[in-house]
Amino acid sequence: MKAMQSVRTGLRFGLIFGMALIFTVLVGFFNAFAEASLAGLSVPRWILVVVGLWCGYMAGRRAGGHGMGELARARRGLTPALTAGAVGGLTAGVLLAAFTAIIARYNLREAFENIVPATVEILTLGAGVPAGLVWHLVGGALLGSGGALLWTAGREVRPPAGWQAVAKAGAVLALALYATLGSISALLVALSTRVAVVGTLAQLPVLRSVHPDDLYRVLRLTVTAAGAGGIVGVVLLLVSPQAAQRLARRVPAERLTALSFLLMATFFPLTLGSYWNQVLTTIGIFVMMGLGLNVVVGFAGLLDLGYVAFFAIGAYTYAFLNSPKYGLSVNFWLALPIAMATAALAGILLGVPVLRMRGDYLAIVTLGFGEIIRLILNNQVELTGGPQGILEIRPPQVFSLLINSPVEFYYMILVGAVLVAFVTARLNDSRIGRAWIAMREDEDVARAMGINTVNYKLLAFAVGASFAGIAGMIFAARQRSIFPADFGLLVSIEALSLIIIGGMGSIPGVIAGAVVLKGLPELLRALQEYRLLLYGALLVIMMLIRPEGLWPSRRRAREIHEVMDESQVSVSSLPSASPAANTPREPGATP
Amino acid sequence: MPVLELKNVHTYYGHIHALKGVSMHVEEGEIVTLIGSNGAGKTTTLRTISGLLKPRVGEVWFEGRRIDHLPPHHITAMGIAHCPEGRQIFARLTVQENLEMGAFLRADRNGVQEDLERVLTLFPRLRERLKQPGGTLSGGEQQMLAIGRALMSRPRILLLDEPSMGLAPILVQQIFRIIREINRQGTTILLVEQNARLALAVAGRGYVLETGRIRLEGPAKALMESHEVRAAYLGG
Repeated sequence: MKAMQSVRTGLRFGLIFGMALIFTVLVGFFNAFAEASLAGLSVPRWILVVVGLWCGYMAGRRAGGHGMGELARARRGLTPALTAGAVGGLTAGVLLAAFTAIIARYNLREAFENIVPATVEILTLGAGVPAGLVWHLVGGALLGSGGALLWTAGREVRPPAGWQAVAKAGAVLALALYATLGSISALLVALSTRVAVVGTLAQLPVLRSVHPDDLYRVLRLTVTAAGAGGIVGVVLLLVSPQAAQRLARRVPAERLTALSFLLMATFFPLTLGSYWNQVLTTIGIFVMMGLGLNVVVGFAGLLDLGYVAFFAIGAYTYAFLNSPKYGLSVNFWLALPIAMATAALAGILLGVPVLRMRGDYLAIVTLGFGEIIRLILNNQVELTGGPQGILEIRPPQVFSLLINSPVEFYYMILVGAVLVAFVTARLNDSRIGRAWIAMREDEDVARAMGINTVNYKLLAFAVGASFAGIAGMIFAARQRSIFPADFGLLVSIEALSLIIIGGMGSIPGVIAGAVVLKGLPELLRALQEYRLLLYGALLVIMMLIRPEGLWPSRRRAREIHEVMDESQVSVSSLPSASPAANTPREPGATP
Repeated sequence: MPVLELKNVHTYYGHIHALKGVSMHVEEGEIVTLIGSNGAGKTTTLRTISGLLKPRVGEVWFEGRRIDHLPPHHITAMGIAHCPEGRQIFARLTVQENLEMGAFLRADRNGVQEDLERVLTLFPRLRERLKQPGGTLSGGEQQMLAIGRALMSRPRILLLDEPSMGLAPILVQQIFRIIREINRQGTTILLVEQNARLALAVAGRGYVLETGRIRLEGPAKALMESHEVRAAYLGG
């Protein structure tokens, strides 16, 4: 009975992973990266190995009693996990072998353009049809078993108590070190064009090795530093537990991480070059927009799907005031308060009719508002130039310096984003912030507390809109020309997504979300046309693993974990004779 | 001069005529109760006083000022605290945050701190649960939190809507003891209850509401002994 269950679990996971593999082949991923290799193994082989292990891991986990109490798991032993893993790997192997046999025998190119003779070659690992197919079966079963063993081993190995805190402290310290060294290096290189001596200093091996000239490298070094620091921390814990614990307590992890990233954001772009700076300015514009939308959605709880409207209003206000087409030529800094005020006013105009709306209804009306603004921009040809847009918008000027290059824009946006982040943080901690929280939690009770919900709602709309207005203005100044097509629904959706990915209501979360949402597609460019496929998959995985967001606010993290705690409580309080029910640590266990 | 006075108040929900000319008054330092069966208009009366509903006809006066045209936040600011029915607390905020929300309109930090201390003395259970989300409290504790939160605005008059609803009898006793204590400390209370026996036991005076009209009024003792009240609300 138990054995049948394990086999069924294995079959199910094997089918899923096998189909996923075949899909990956069909979209041409294997062909495209047949030549690329990582650590001596070609990318397709890596995929086969990883998928095989993963399949076994997942099947073994399910059959091995994941989510059950320790006792129940111990009673089950190793066999079910191993059976399920092996069956899973074998099933995936059978599927892949059958698929390979079919494409080797029949010509499917008419239907699937990515199936070419080389595909068979790659899939059979160069061994030809009958021999390669055996590889799939044997390899599948072995990798599947290996995955199941990995899961079992992971369960059995008990890292020393408190290792997470120590690893975190180590990682944070290493990150801070890297951020400091990299900043010094970047600063020296930037200065070396003026002062020759500094140039030689920048060539010191220590500094050269951390020189931030490429975002891939920065990313690699960041991950390496944090990983190495974490390992050092754990080693220290093994050597001297007291010192390690003290370290973990002393290091203000959250603040130091924020500081390190701020340092990196301040100095690294000096030497990152135009391309990456262009990417960073886009991220910066979205950070500002995200911070503004976060006020409306995250703080006040008003779901706004037409947020792009305010971005567009900021951009067009500046264009009207500045472009020679209208003959006003107002400079950027004078136009800034005007654009903010216009956007804020638009926010209030949207706010008044939707005062009584909540949830879904509010979302639909705001969605319509965003579209109306775009359509007006598109159709009022005499006023806005219609689809031809507005051209010749001038960039801002600071004293005699014309802000023109991506690096200069980056720094202007950095200053703007820091200011916006500061203002939203202050708002959140103020009386106004508390009124928003009360309103978000329960509007009726908020009114009973004496909170003037009308004013605070309109204030949230106005503040959010004015931040989007600034972002729109900077966008217009950077692009030099704007078109209604720049302000589609997708912008609103992206702004909302980055808040959700980062962590609703959290300011560092918004920044992290913008970096991931707008930065990741650029970093994934090496994957060519498959980048969006992987990007989508990563977003889905991220939301599955961290539903509260990358860097959630304390309150939100508490809420999400509270839901889990509640499910634990309900499990542990269930009357049951099984000992599994008495271990409340694991959520989702049903006796 | 009464602290609170309603003069011939008519309130509607759309076309439904919920209050049909309610007149009543509450004097300084009193506990006045408003009893009546389901749908008699008790909650509607409280919502009209606190400004969540506007009367179509009639006047509401508070300390010599007419308030029936004012928005709810002004009314709260004047010193009327409404503790709504059904223990409407902020479930996801902690007990402390809930209490602080109650003092939203106040700027005197020291006074707020004092009142927090006072509320926690009245409800020692809340002190034990200060950092816990309101939604995880038991029913009785949530009711205590709702009353405590209303007190945090340091009200002149406290409107309590069905504080006994859904609570175990022993908890009801406890809540009513605390209500009396709050009144003894100087807060005027208008208490709406379905549990007529208990309400009349703590109140000095009472009104009996029936389908939107005041049917009877008088000292609580007299009402308790009145034949009509006994038959209709006290089970004989």
